[in-house]
Amino acid sequence: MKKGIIIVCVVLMGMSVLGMVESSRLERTMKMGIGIGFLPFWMSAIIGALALALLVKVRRGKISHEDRPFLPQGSIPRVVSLAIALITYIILIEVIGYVPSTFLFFLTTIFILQRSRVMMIMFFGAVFTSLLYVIFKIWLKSPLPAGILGF
Amino acid sequence: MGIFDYLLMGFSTALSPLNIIFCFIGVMIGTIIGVLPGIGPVAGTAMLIPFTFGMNATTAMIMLAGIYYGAMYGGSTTSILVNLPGESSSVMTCLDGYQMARKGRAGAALGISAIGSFIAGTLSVAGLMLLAPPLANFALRFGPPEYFSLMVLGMTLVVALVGEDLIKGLIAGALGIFLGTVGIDPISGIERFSYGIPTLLDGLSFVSVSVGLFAVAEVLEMSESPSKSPAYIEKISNLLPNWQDWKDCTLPMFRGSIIGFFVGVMPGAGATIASMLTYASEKKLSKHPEKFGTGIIQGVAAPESANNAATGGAMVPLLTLGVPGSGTTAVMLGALLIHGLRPGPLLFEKHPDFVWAVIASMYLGNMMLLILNLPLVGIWARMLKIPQAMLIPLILAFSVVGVFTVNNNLAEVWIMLVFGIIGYFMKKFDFPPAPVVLALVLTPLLENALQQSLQMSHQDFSIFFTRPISLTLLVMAIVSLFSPFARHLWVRANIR
Repeated sequence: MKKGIIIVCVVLMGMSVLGMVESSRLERTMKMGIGIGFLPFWMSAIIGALALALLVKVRRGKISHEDRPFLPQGSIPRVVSLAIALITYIILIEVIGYVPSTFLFFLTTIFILQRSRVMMIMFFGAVFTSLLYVIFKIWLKSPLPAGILGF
Repeated sequence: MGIFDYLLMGFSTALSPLNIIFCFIGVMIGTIIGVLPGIGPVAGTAMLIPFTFGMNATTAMIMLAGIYYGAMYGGSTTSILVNLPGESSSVMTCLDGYQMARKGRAGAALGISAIGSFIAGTLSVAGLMLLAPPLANFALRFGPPEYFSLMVLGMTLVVALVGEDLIKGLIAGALGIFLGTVGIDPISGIERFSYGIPTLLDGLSFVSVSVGLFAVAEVLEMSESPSKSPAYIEKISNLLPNWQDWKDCTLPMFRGSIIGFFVGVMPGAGATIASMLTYASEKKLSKHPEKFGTGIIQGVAAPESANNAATGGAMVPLLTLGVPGSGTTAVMLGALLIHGLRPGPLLFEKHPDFVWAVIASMYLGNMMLLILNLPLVGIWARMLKIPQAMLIPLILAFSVVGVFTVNNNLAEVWIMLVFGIIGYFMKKFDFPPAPVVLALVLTPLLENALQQSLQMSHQDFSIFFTRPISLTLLVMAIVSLFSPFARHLWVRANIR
């Protein structure tokens, strides 16, 4: 965990430098009041300074929970699979449409999280897909992505 | 018009069939959110914002407020029956509530928790009703420098009180301000950090960021370990407290209501700190402090009253000053802005129908919660048996579809995903997400106030220090940054 916080501090300092460089291209002062680069520039500088302070604090051992593991044992496959399923769902929703992509998403995620019987997974997948369809499409009348299949 | 005339006007709106239905839906969803560990009221309100787009602002706010205080009711059920707080504000209820349940008094604990919540919720709405109009009147004196200082105070209080580490809270707040500057500057019309991406021209979507940071991040964390249905105490009887219980609890409930309300008014303090402070002060006032933690009814009544009273208190700065004091009220502010309403002192003048309808609906909502929570407590407890494998995909799909429907734009769903991953890492490294959302919502207003103040003073920053109200607010902001140290010492001394 200590290593992780150090990496976070370094990333934040990098972002701070990038933010300052990008903000310095914008005007920081104008004739009337502040320029549009004022807030982002100073916020980037503050983030950098605070990240440095946090880094010093971590190095001095003043962070109490640094020995905690980043992820509980055996949880990496679940979290990563779920994230991949979510990314795939977002890609597919506009390509093949709401109904098939959402149904597939439910099938995959329920299977990842709990290996149940296929019929049960399919049943819940169909129920949840229909539930969201009724709420958003029929009740709230929001357009849902139709995709190449048209639904 | 006097307060009671306004309240009557509020009831006439709140009692319309549509508003009653959405108040009921709000408190019911809130109770479910409170019961289910993991998803909190911030994620719940953020996820349901897209759901409110078809509604008028009053109905939307009635529903979102219902979720907020409904979650406080629901949180106590799992604390008492499973020793698992559904909400962080119910942590203190576990101490005595679960012990009471183990002694066969789960019914009395649940009953007093619902009744205490109802009394405190109702009293806090009365407090809101009495305190908000004079505060709004006072705030009419505020000019841009005072507003700037007030927003700085709101942010520092949230930063100081929400997280465990002040530096991490400050980083989160500064990041939120930076993110709030993305998009076309409304004054100069120049784009900032949008890099030609059309979706970013209007700034980062508040709904995408908040759903990502709270709902998606929460769900990713939930998925780390397989769920196990907790073993809960199923036998629940005698929900109504006996005469002795009433005698023991009356004063703690009133003290909890008062402390909870005023702690709730303070931006950043919130329901969790309110319940901790109340529990600690009850222990101090008790003739038998050693009995706290062994299953005494005062240990349930006081913190449960406090966390509910805090929700009414938290509405005071939101409605009167336009400065949210917590993650949930920040989400509500964002929802109000989306609905075209700008909270602040003028809201009471320009839209009294809206403000008073929301206040009146909180009375109704508290009554609905009492009816929902007492006889249906067994059903709420059974909700804990819903497997994670069903809940996680449902929350994720709801978030994806909900964010998509805001502007029918898939790019906003990708933004949600990015912030979901950022939020997950923030959770892992204990960076509080609430300051990011609060700052994101407040930055356009803050920048505008800063701009106007400097125009007034011809670029002289001393304007913030030469006006008494602004100076006082800035001094309070600086003092608030030292409050984590004071809080740490106070809680350590009192919880022992």
